[in-house]
Amino acid sequence: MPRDNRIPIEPDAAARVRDLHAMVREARTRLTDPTVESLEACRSLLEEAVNAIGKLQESLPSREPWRDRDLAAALGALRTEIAAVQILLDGAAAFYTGWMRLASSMASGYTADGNPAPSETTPRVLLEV
Amino acid sequence: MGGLFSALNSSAGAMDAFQRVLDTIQSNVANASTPGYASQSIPLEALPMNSTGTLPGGVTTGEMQSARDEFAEQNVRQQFSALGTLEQTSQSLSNLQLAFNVSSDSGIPGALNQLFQNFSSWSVTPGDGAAQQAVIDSAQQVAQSFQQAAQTLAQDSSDTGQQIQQTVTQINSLASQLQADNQQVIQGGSNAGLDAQIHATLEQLSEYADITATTQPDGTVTVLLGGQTPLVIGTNQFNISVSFTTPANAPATVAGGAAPARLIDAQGNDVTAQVSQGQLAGELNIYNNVLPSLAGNAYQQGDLNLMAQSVADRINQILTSGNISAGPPPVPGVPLFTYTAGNPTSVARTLAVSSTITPDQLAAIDPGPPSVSNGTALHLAALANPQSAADEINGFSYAEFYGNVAAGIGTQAQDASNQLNVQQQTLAQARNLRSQISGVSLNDEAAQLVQFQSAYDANSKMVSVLDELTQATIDMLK
Repeated sequence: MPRDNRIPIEPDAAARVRDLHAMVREARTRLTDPTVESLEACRSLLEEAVNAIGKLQESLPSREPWRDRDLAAALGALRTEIAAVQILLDGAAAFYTGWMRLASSMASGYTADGNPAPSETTPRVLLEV
Repeated sequence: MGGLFSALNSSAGAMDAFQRVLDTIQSNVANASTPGYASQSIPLEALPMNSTGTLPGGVTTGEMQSARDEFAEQNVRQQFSALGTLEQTSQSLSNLQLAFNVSSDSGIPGALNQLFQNFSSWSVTPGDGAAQQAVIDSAQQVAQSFQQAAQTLAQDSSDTGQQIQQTVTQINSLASQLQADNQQVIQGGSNAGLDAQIHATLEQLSEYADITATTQPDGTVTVLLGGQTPLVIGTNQFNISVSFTTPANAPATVAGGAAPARLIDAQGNDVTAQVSQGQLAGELNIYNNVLPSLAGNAYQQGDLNLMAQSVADRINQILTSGNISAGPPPVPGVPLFTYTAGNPTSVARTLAVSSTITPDQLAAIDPGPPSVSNGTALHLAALANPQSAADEINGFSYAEFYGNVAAGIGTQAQDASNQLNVQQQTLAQARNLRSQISGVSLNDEAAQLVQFQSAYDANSKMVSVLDELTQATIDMLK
């Protein structure tokens, strides 16, 4: 029997990947305004996605290879989305790193080897009653 | 009495200070949607006081501070430039994708299919006039489809050349605006409105090309193209221009091919390589790389011309090695296709069926030995599924070669479209980051960075695990 004609053992796997994709898309949207709070929300969405794909993987047959074009397309789209999340995450990190280098140099000048001197921050404790 | 006057003075001063703060807030509200405007703030400072009344205390305003930070502004401009490149690339490739259809029912692949089918029918009845005529008709279709594709590419090239010209004019015009703004700054006219105008112009300029803008101690803005070529320094403007000529240090290697577009600075230097982002970079890439890879230019023949020439030469070669009649004396075959020799980049555009060939001049006989009455016709029909390198282009059949070219354009268009989608969000991110750092103290920033670093690490780890798991699931499907 040709491999392409096999009936997937997990018929709604593609739909599950699409749900998971929606989660990652939501994480991507949050990264357009990368505050610490939105990063926290993003992390929790990604964690949920990791758990979901782990469960999906367990439900798939592992001994013999099989094909499901719908699932393959959904997974391909998911990987594109994950790559976009990575780009936005790295973009925010690069910005903060660059900004802090600049801010440190403005506040504390440069070290002898030409790097921005670390800025001294005042330790603070916020007590909410 | 002195105490009373002191108190009144102090109150009046405070009223004045608060009024200035209110004015600033009002200005911020009024300009909330003004392009390029950054909110202004005035710090309130306590005045010294003592109990003897010699220092009355009270409040005054400090220097007005712009919340704008050049670092964040430059980041937004960089993202604008990247967006400009992708918008242009995506649009141009989408147009090309329409012209290079992968479907075998139309265009070049459709016409070639029909020609091979007619070669096959002719090989069954080599002496049949209708079968011979069908071959000539379908050969004409092949020539026309190559001409149409070449024409589309020529039009795209001409349009892109004009766009480059217009973009350069636009860049010079915006640079001129900035030069006039600098003039105003030097004359002491610096204010929030002018600052907004300058930054809006810089943002507009960054969509056209990657620029670096730095504010000088005298308040003027210095603008460099690609980080090196000056566009505006103080009150001086340096125009750029475009030249469609081959450079002296890289002479043309393909006779008759079109020259590339080159960006020339005010001193006459070629600065094309310095422009890597922005609409202009996208246009230059399409004009100098993408279109020539298909239609050719001064440095390459282009895939479309290579294919047109390979098809025409091979079919002509097979026909002229055959005989129209066995004789005696045997009458040799004549070529079916013609094209203008001497310019490898014009083959597709000038490909035509020989105006002198008649149906009965198609040579079906392979002289052998042994002589086969439909030998050449069979060989021509077999070009659809070639068995030897001579019937292929770089190891591919004609249909496969065309498919690869069309698929290449399709993939590039899809990639550009995906990247454009992400870039729009990256720009939104840069704008949000710009507002996030406005008016935040360094202490707050440092604390935020520590939190950000930890949140970034957690997210990054999660993305990496998710990507690995997705890839592993994809691998299970193979």
